[in-house]
This record gives sequence, C-alpha cells and structure tokens, in this order.
Amino acid sequence: MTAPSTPADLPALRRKLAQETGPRFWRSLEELAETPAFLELLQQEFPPFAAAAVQGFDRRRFLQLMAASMALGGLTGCQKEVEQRQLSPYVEQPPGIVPGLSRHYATATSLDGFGYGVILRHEMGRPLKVEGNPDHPASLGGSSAIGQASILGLYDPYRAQTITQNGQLASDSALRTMLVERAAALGATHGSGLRLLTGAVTSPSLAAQIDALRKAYPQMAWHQWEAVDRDTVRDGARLAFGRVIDTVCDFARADLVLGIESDALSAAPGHLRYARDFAARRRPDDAKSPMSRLYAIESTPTLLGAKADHRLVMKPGNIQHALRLVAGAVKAGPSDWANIPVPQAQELAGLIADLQAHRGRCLVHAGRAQPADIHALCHAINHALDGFGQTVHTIEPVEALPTDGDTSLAELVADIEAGRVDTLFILGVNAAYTAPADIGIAAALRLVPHSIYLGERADETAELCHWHIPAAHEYEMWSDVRAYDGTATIQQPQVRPLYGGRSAHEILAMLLGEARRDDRTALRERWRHASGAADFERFWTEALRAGVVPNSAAAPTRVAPRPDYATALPPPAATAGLSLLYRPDLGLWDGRFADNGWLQEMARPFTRLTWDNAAEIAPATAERLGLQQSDMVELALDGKKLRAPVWILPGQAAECVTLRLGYGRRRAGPVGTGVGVNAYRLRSARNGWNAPGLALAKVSGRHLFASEQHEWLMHGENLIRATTLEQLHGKSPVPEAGTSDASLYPGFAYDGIAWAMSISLNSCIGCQACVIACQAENNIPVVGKEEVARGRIMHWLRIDRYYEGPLDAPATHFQPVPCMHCENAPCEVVCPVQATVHDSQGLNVMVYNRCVGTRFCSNNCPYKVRRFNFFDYSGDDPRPRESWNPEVTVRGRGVMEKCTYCIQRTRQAMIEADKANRPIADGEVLTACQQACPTQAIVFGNKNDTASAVARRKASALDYAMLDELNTRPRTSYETAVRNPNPSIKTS
Amino acid sequence: MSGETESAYGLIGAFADPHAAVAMARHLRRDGFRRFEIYSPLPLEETNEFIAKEPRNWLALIMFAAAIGGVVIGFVMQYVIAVIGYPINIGGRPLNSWPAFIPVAWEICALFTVYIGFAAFLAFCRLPKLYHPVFNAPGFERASQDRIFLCVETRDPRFDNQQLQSMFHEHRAVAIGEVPL
Amino acid sequence: MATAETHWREPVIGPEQNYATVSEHLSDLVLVQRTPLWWYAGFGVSMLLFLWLVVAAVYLLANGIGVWGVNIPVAWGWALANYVWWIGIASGGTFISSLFYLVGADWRNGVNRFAESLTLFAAAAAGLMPIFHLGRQGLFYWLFPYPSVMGIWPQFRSPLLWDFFALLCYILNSIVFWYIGLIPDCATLRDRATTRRAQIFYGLLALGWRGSARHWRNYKIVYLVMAGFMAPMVVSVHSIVGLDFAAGIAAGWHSTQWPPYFFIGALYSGWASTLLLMIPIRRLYRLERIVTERHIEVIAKLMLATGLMLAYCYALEAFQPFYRGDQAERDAYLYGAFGAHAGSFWVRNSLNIFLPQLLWIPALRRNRVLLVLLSFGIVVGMWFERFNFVVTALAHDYIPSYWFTFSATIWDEGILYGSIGLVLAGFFLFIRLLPVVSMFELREVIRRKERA
Repeated sequence: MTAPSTPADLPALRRKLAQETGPRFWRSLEELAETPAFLELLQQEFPPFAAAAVQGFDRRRFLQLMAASMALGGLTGCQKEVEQRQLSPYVEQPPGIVPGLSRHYATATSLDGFGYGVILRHEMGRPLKVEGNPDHPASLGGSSAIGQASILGLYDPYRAQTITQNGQLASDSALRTMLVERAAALGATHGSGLRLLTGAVTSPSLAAQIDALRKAYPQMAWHQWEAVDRDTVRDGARLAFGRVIDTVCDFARADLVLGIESDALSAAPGHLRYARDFAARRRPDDAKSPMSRLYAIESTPTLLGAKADHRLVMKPGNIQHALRLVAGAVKAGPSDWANIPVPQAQELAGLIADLQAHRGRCLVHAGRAQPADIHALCHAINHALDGFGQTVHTIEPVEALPTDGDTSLAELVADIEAGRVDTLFILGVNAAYTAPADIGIAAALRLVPHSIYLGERADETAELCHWHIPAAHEYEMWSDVRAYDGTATIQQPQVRPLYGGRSAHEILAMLLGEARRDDRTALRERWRHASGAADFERFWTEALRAGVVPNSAAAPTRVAPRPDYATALPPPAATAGLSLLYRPDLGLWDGRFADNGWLQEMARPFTRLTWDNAAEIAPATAERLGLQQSDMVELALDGKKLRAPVWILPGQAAECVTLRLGYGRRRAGPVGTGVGVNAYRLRSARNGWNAPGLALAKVSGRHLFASEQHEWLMHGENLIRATTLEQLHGKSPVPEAGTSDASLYPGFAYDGIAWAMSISLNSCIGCQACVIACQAENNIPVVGKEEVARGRIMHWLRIDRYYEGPLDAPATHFQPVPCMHCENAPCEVVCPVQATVHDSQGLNVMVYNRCVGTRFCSNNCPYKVRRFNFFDYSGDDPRPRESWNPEVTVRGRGVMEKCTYCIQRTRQAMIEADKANRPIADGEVLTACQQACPTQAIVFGNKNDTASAVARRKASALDYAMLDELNTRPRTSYETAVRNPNPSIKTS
Repeated sequence: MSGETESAYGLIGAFADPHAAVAMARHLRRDGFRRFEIYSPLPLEETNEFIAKEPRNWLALIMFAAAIGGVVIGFVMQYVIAVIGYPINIGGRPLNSWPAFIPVAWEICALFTVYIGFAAFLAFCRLPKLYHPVFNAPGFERASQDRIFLCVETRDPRFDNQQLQSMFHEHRAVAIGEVPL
Repeated sequence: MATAETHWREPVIGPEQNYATVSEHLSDLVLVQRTPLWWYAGFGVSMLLFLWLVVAAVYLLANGIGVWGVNIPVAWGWALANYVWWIGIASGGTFISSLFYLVGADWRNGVNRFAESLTLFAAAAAGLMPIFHLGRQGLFYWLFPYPSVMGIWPQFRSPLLWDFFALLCYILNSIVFWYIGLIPDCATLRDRATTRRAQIFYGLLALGWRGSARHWRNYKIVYLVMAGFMAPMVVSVHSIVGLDFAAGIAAGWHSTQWPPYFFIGALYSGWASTLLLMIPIRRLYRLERIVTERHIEVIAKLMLATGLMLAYCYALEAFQPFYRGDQAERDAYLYGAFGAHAGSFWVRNSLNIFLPQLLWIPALRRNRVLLVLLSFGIVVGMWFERFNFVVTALAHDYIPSYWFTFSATIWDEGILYGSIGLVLAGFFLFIRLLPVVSMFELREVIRRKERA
C-alpha cells in the first residue's frame, strides 16, 4: 500500500492542533484523526496487515505477528472506536457486573444462512464462551466446532478495523457521503445498475429490508452465492415435487437410517439436532428406544458413515445406480430399475429387505454433495416407504431467496460484463475467493464502477472492491435468523463492535436513506408487526432471554412426488476414470474460517490433519498410481492444474480424490494465508461437487503434514472394545470388564464427591466440538503447524481414530481421550516436587506454579494426555488478552498441563451449593466437552451418588476402563462400542 | 644436658630402610623413651605398635555411628514429610511408602559416613596444621619421598643428645640432625 | 601377592623403580616439566567444545527446551541419554579405586588416580544434564529436601528424587574420596616444589601432612571405610538411574532388570573411558614403567568380561518381552530394534558386543592402538545404547495413536559435545596440576615387592 504523506504534513497537523483551544479540543481530535493527512500518517506508522501476510506460517511468524497485533492495537487506539475497544474498564464497577459471577445471553450463530441457537457466557462483561442453547430446536444445548470457535473469530485481531477506499483508510463520513450519492444516482435510474450480492439469507428482517430496497429501486437485482450451497438439494426437490421444499428429518423416530454420503451429522441444516436424535437411538442398553440400524453408501468418509453398521463404499456413479436399484425395489421408481447391475448387490439386497421391513420407520438422507437426482430418489423412497409425516417432514423453504447460486452468480457476471452494473453491494460473501473458476467473478469485479464490500476481513474480495466496510461479527449486531425447521431467533449483540464493524442492516438502511437508523429499533418494529403479540415487551424480552421466538417453526406441508419424476432424472454420472470430489471442510467450511487458529489446528476426524488439506485418495488408488503418503501430485481438470499433497485415506472410494474447500487462501490474515491448496481453482459451476475426468500425475517433492495421529491401527491393544447387538442380547461374552481391585494396601476413601466421567463410544461421532470447547474453556494456546508437526499440539482432549477391518472399507472408531484421572495415577508418583497430586474428590490435579518441568509425568502417563509448554505458547498466541478465560490459569513456559475435569466449573458449583447449603445436584456441573457434545456422549458427575447418570453408566456391563491391566483405575471410563449389523448380510 | 639442645625441638635421624627406623624405634621404647615419632613417605604397618595410646578403633566407631545416624535421619525425614507433614494422596500410594524411602536413606547414610569420617580423620591427625617444628629439620622434605625419619623430642625426660646420636649411628641412620624449635 | 604375580608377563611396576624414582618422575611431570605443546592443543580444543556448551546452554535457557527435539510422547531426549552416559563413565573410576582397593589388587594403584579424576569431571557433566532438561531450569533447587515454596517438600516416592540424592551424594563423596587420596601426594609436591607459589599451593592442599605414624594409621582406617562405602554407593547410584526407568510404567521401561543392566553398562563405559585416556597419557608422560602393560591388560580383560555380562543383559532384554507376553512391551522392543531409531540399536550391539570380542585374542589385547579404538567404540556405543533405551520406549508406548519419533536439533548436539569439552578440559587441568598416579601407593607396592 502507498502512503503518499510526507513529513511536511506533521507541522501542518501541529499547526492545526495548536489552533484548537479549550473544550473543543477533545471532540476535534476525533475529527482530526479522520482527516486524510492524519490517517495517512498512521498508515505510515503502522503498516497494515496485508503487508505482513506472507506465505507459510510457523512459530516465528506468531512472534512477529504478536508484535504486529500490538501495533494494530495502537492503531485502533488512534481511532474512533477507542471506547468500544476497551470492553469493561474496571476503574469503577459497572452496574450489574459482579467479579467472578458469569452472566449468560442467548443469541444465534448461522452457517450457510441457517441459525443455531447459542448462549454466550460473559465474564466481567466480556463474552468468553459459546454454548449451545438447550431451548433451541437446532441445538438442544449441543454445539459444533465451528460454533465453539466463533468466539475466537469475534476477538480475532486481524479482522478489518477500518473503512478503506481503494486500499486507503477512509472515514465514516466519507462512507456516508458515498452512500448518499449512490442512493441519489441510483434513485434516478430506478436502481437499474444496482446489484446486491449476499449469501444465503434466512433473516426475516434482512429479507424485509431487501424487499424494501427492491421497492425503492425496482430495477435492481438480488444475487446470492454460497460456495457450500444447497443447490442440489433444491434441484432434487424441484425434480421430485416440482417446487422447492425443505425437508426436516426426525432421526428419533427412525429405526433404520440410510445415509447417501449424508452430512446429517456434520453440515446439513440442523445437523446438531439430527446428531442428538440419532445418538438417542444408538444406545444399546436403553430399553425404551431399540437401537436403530444405519446403512451408509458413500464415496468419501462422513461422520454418519463412520457410525454405520453397514458402510458401502461406491463411486458417485455407482451410488446413483445403487439408489435407483433401491428405488425400483421398494416401488419408488420404475420396476426395471430393480435389476440394474451394481456392485455389492448382496449388501444392497439386505438393505432393501430391511427397508421394506421397516416401512414407515425408515429414513433416507442424502448429503448436499450428492447430485439432484439422488435427492429426488431419496424423496421418492421416503415417500414410497411412508416416511413422510413419520420420519421426514416437508416445510416451505426457510431461505428468503431459494435460488440457484451458480446461475445467480453467472447472471451477475454476465450483467457486469455487459456493462449493466453500476453499483454492486457485496454483503459478506468472499466471492472473489469462493466463486468457481469458470465464473470469472474476480475479473468482472474490476469492471464495476462502484463496488462496495461489507466483509469481516480484508480478503480477496475486499482487494477487488473500491470500498471495504468492516463487517460486524454476528455477536456484535442486532439481527434475526431462522433455523432448519424455520424457528426464528432474534440475535442480540453480545458486545459493542470491537473493531467498528457495520452490519448489513446498517448499510442497507443507509442506502434506503434511513439516516441515523438504529438496528435495534428497526428490528423491534419489524417483530412488533411479525409477532402480533398483545404484550410486545413481554414477547421481546422473552424471545431475547430464551433465544427462540416461540412457535415460529414452519408448519409442515403435505406434498407428494410427481409420479413421472423418474423420467426427468438426469442420467447417472460415468463410473470410469478418476473423479475429483470437492467437499466442505469440517473446520474452515468454505474458507471463511481460515483465519481461526483453533479451527486450523483442529485435527480433522479422519485424516487427523491440522493446518492442511490434501488430495485424499483410497489405498487401492494409491497402490495403482504408486503414490505414497505426502507425495506431491498435480491434479489436472479441464485444462486447469493444481498441485496438492497426497493423503491416503482408508474408506475412500477407489478412483476418487477428495479435496477439501477453504484452503489456499491468498488474503486470509496471518493465520490462514497460504495454508493448504485452493480447490476453487479447479472447481467449476457445472461440477461443483463431483468432477469426473480428473488427471493425476506424480510430481517431485514431498509435503510436510502436521497430523496429530500417526498410527491408524490398535496393534492388539485393547483400547477400544466393540461388540454387536446380537452378541449383547445373546449374552455372548462381552469383552471382559476390568481386572480385580485386589491390592496389598488399603485404597484411599473418597467419601463425599468422587468426580468421574463416562464416554460412550456409541454416541461419539468424532465432530471435534468437545476439542474446541475444551480449548476455548481452558485457555489452550494455538502452537502453529511447525510445532504440531514436531508433536507438540496442546489439546487437552483429543479424539483418537482407529480403523478395524479391511483397508478399503474399514470400520472407524472415534475415541475421545481426556485425562483419565486415575486413582492410582502413575504421573503423580514420579513427580519429584509434588506438582501433580490427588485431591479429596479423586481429581488428579496439576499445580502449575509448582511444576519444574521434568516431564516424567508425561512419560509415565500410559494414555499420553499430558501436554507440555515447550515454548511460551500462551504468550505467543496472538489472541487479545481480554479474550482469555479469567477462570483458568494461563500456563507459562516449561510447565506441564492437562485436562482438569474443568475444575473451575466443579469448584464454582461446590461454592454455589455451599452457599445454598445443599448437595450438588446430578448434572449441575457440565464439563466444557460434555456441554458442547451434540450427542451427549460424555457424562460427568459424582460416581458416589448411585443415582447419578455417570454412576448408572459405570454400572452398565458395557462400561470399561482403557488399559485397566495397568491397574491405574481411571475415573474416566468408556462405553463399549456396539454395532447393529443386519444378520442377513455376511460381511467379509 | 647441654644448653643448645634446650632450644631444640628434638633430635632427628633419617633412614633409607624402614626396617632400620623401626628397629631403632623399638630400641628407644625398650630404653623407656616415650616422646618420639616416625615420619614416613608411605604407611608402615609396624609403626602402629608405637602409638597404642588411644584405642585404635575410635575413628571406625565414629564412622559407624555416622552411618547409623545417616540412615535414621534420612528415613525419619521422609517419613515425617510424607506421613505427618504433608499426608497427600500421591497416586493412591500409602502415605508411608517405606520401600520408596530406602534409596534416599541409603544415600544420606553414605554421605554422612564419608563426611563425618573425613572430619574425624582430620581431627585425629590434628590437621590442618600448616606449621610443625619438625618441618625445620634438615632434609625433612624427603620424609614425603624416600626417607623414613625418626625424631626424638627434647621434652622426653630421657632425652640425651650424645646417647641418641650414637644410637642413630648404630641403626645406620643416613643423616642425623637437630630440629630447631 | 607374589605367587599371584608370577604368571604375569609384565610386573605391576618396573623392577628398577624405587621410592625416589617414582616420586621424582611423577612430581617432576607437574613441577619441573614445561607445559608440552600437545597439552595446549588438547586443552584448547576442549575449551572450544566447552564454549559450545556455554552457547548452547545460554540459548536453551533463553528460549526453553522447545529448542530441543523433545516432544509428547518423547518428552525425554538426548539430555537424559547424556546424563545416564556420563554417570556410567563416572562409575568406572570409583569402582576401580574402591572395590579393587578392598580386594587389595596391586595394579589398581597405577590407575586409580586417572580413573577417579575422570569420575569427578564426568559426574559434574552428568549433574548438569538433569538441570538443563528441566522445563524451568531455574527452579531445580526445589528438589532439595527443605520446604521450598509454600512450605512444600519434595516428593520422595519419585525415582527422579532418588536420582537427585544419589547423584548429589555421589559427587560430594567422590570429591572427598579423591581428595583424601591426594593429601600425601600433595605433601610430596609441597616438599619437592621449588617455587614459592607451588609450595604455598600444594602446601595448602596438603593441610600440613607430615606422614607421621599416627597420620598413616588414621589414614588407612578412614580410607578403608570410605572405600567400603564408595563401592556399594557407586553400585546404588547407577542402579537408581536404572530405577528411573524401571519404576516408570512405560512399556519397555517397566522391568526389574534395568538396575543391574545399567550398572554393568556403567562399568563397561568406565573401563573403556579409562583406557581411552590412560593409554595416550601413559605414552605422552613416559609412564610405561609405572603404568605397565599389565595394567592395560587387566583392564582390557575386565572390559571383555563386562562386555560379556552386558551381552547377557541385552539377551535378557530381548527375551523378557516375549517371555512376559505383553503386547505393548513386545512392540516397544521390536520398534527399538527395527523401528525409526533402529540405527542406534545396531550401532550399540556392534560397538558394545560384537567388536570387543576381538579382545579374546591376547595379541590384539596388547595392541594399544586397537585398544584405544575399541574403547572409543564402546564409549560411543554406550551412548547409543542410552539413547535407544530412553527414546524408543517413549516413542512406542501403550497408545498407538500417540506413537511418534524423535529427531534431535543442533541444540541437542551442542549440549552433548559441549559437555565432552567440559570433561576433557577438567581432565587436562588435572594432569597438568596433580600427579597422575598416586605416588605413595606406588611406594607401598614397591615395598610389598621388596618384602616378597
């Protein structure tokens, strides 16, 4: 960036200051701060981050960037938001804030437009921890890794902090002037030339504003683009029903689930709710609800597939054939489909029989990455098996504009190229990065006379637009959002904009000429009409408190598939040759979270990779092509080339290469820039998910991956115990439970509370939410790719992934491993300075300030759950000071640390109980991981209280302790994994 | 007794052969001499008989006591800390994990023995004593190399310069001289 | 004695040697001889290496142990291997001077001073390692038995604490044991010294030793008892080092065989390092008539015998995991032998077991060049044994998901090579300032021969 200001400006500024006198001085300093000269001076003093963002990212970068972020702090200090930057200065106590007492406020986060209710915990007036909202149907208290990490996104010091015009700092007044001018100019032409580009919108108020905008500017056009879109879902509905319909699944009522590479547990709208309901039906020892059976047909592993009792690995084309076969067999399609030749016919036959046997109680769900015809077929099958109204409900589309993203974006580009676009507003869509390569949006953007981008970061799109307005974080603004079932949530700001972000509402309001409009008032007005509540104040406060607008869920509609839908289906894709599968990343989604260190360092469930994406290929394909792990390959697709490292992924379909979206960002801030490879460079609108005709060539060089887990198999260790429902009910031997407690010495007595944890391997879906929740709660620093590669990741809780069975289609096991809090803790005995000891409740506590760092405890921990501060990781972590959790010590260099069972939470609960002079109720204390878990896999409590949930879990025959032959007597135990395979299918 | 010997510490003779020195010492004792001392560049077992005054095993006894004391102190320290001072639950092990306390007790025992033994040794040898009259004896530096010296102190009631001179001669002393005070 | 000696080709000391000659020869090396060139060279090189240690240590303390290759699970790396290695080298000296004093072996008097001095500096180097390897090095003193912070005492069940005590007591005792043996020789130096400064220096060290009958009698008593304690102590010290691992639960560490295994290894490296230094010094200081072929032969044979004992230990190490049938332990052993760090495993076998078998052949046993090479090989091989032992068990513990490897950084190397510099520098100072062989004990030997 250029800063044409010269030292000659300084005297000028001084003179200006000198003229100022008395009371006007302070106000005028603000004005002064906005004069171009002064801003340019700042520019020179504090080079903006664009300059700092370079390729590669290691610990040294952290150090530099910490320094740089301090500089940025200084920069903001010079700006108008100074009083907003300082959250709650404790000079005098703000009313209603008591130190140490946390407060909770409900709101919602959104992903591809759909809302998930959350509750934020505030300490000393600062929002510090995200939890799911138990009252919200899409959450029921659970949360996702992305949701958990959103709090770091809020504090991210690399978010855009100033309005820029052509890369130069611009003032708020300049922005307003510009908007007024544009409004006037556009008004004259009835808005022809006005274009609006947004992501998926479910917000009623935003939709209303856009409608108002359309009324004011009849000629304008509203375009919509999501990189990870649901076009296929909508097209599928069009094929099946002739119009767009949203489906809501009810896994709780499904005895049999068929997932077609389903994202029901990972990404589909409402996936948290689905996961909860699904897990509720996978409890082998729950008499009330018999265990459901799960079939999965998929090309690349999904979280749902990992839990499947029968997982069929197929190429996309074969999946289409297979589903036609199923449809034909269950009378959901032409009968001649019933004898389509497909591989794995034996399993499919068993599946079909099972489906017919579970008429009305089965559910077929396909992921958004499946083509439209698959979705249509799913609708047809669900309908043919009386699923509608039972396990599947249809509602009117939740989105305000259920349009096809690719087409919409293509139209926009066409208009621009035709010169029909004069002013383009891009609201929070990083189109320049995420748009398919064959839609030349980046080139087109340069042609727009007036482009205004509202975005959180100075990203690829901001670079191409004239104006960049820093967007407010979802936790910083008034808005509303609808969930997968239509339930609305009124989003209330948790904190004033930290970096002076604006909301989309604000920008549109300015465009509508509603000067000095206040989002909150507008939102209230809108809901006053929408709710029609007699006592609006009660409605409003209640809605904000609960985080849910009462009975706002969409009413089910009755629809039936068109009888002739089958004829309209496009032909199945070719099954020959290599094909490239684009899939959203569990952490970065479409790349919008690339600057979030927690999500970057989150080990992905299957690859266990951090800080990277890779060309994930099947072992068989690797053998055929003679490829090794972390070889470099060149992917060539219709003329476009991309180099990517190879990761060999068991359970991947042969001849399929999966590439996760969201990596290879060019301008994602210092954390995300240059991490991984950019799949969008190959992606085309035509083949958004599955691109056949891929050419793959090995090139020289090898890649350094930072994977948290390097071994895939259990090597005979009895870490995970698995059995089948048949064996369980047949009372055939369950893996033996533990060794005898015989000992020469009397054990220690834990009368009173004995904290313990039980983790159900049946419920854990490997979604990593608990890992990030633990990181957020316990101030766990991000260490960076280099350090992860050196085996120094700091996560207190990890989810180990083991494979069992054939390499090409293995069974996958997820095993969350926190500290076991062994009663005979090996770590304690070997500590020479009593830095880790037992407390009266059986916790294995770590005394940080006593630790001298011999690391013998880690060596002696059979579970390897201890983490060591090899460097001053916390000090080097670029997150702002005020974002650490004040309840938890921030560990310094050379100190060992590990899971504490969230001791800060247990102690808090004990204090509360003492004040009320009552015992601690069961479930009163939730550990961070337990609270985040969408499937309630983790249960924590007092095992002395026989009525407690944890005691009941431990009483079960399925309960076992990992490595109990070492006589460590862990307090954390596991529930044996139970599968429910179809007896009629003989799996090899 | 002649005057000049009053100012002397004693009469000293150097021997090349340990046997000769020992023989002379035996002779002296037969004649009732008491205040004489043998200085040698190496330990001579025979000389022990001339210094049977204090029971010869005291030093060993002291070291033995030190050893016992070391064990007891070492163990009691650990016991008091682990059982009485800080009865903390360490890995579910009993507070008095006596087998684990043995190594440290032993090391402390060895430390006490060696150091107290060394101190006692210095005390018994009256060391350090950087000055001693016998150092003035002519050629005494060879007492730490290849000569055995026998020095009869003037304080001895039977001290007689002449008689001693002849005695040295008959025992083949290679050199005889007075040790000035 | 005499009968025992007859079948030796070489006497334990040249027949022409007498009280005067040994005194002159050995003390002139210190008092009269001008500092030889090779000494400056050797000392200079050692100091350069030592400087490397200083640099590495400063960098380490400034940045934290992250600068090393250690990680989770392999939280212990070179520092611990160095530590065990140096302690092992140290043990040899004490063992020679204490045990062989108790059994009254004459040849011991020719070499114990070398060996003991080496012990001292090696033990000092060993003592540095555990402190360097702490996460918070500045707080190592929390291991001392006193209520340090918040009145907390150390935790006496920890093998690391046993180790701390063992090492501390061992170093302190070795100093006294070494010094008390020096007193009569310092007296000789004092008396032979020509310059005032030398007289004062050695005079102070000699504490006014006169060699009176009473002195000698007390000396014999106290030295005997000390030797009686030092012998078991040196055994205990390295056994406790073995317990550091044996008392741990890690697969591949949790086994009762380590204390003897470690001790035998310690002696082995002790003999080897003694030979390694003794043979050149003997040559350079013209000590052939005092440190005779026989000394070398004896130690060479000891080395061979100890090597066989170590071979037995290795065999047991291989046998037990399979006999006990614990999966993890088997995996750990196989990983050590064939895994990522297999190189160290086979280096140790070759240098410690296979090559030393050459010593069966008398001719080779008396080839000093070969001996030096073999000894060097053994010293190196022992380091690789320690490294393999420390790292592989950690890299391959119970949880497969946390199997990992170790790769050293230049800062690991700096600490190791630097510590070698520290030891050599100390040793060079010793051979310049003090008699390299105990003079009065040689006189005893001569007398015994005369009487025989």
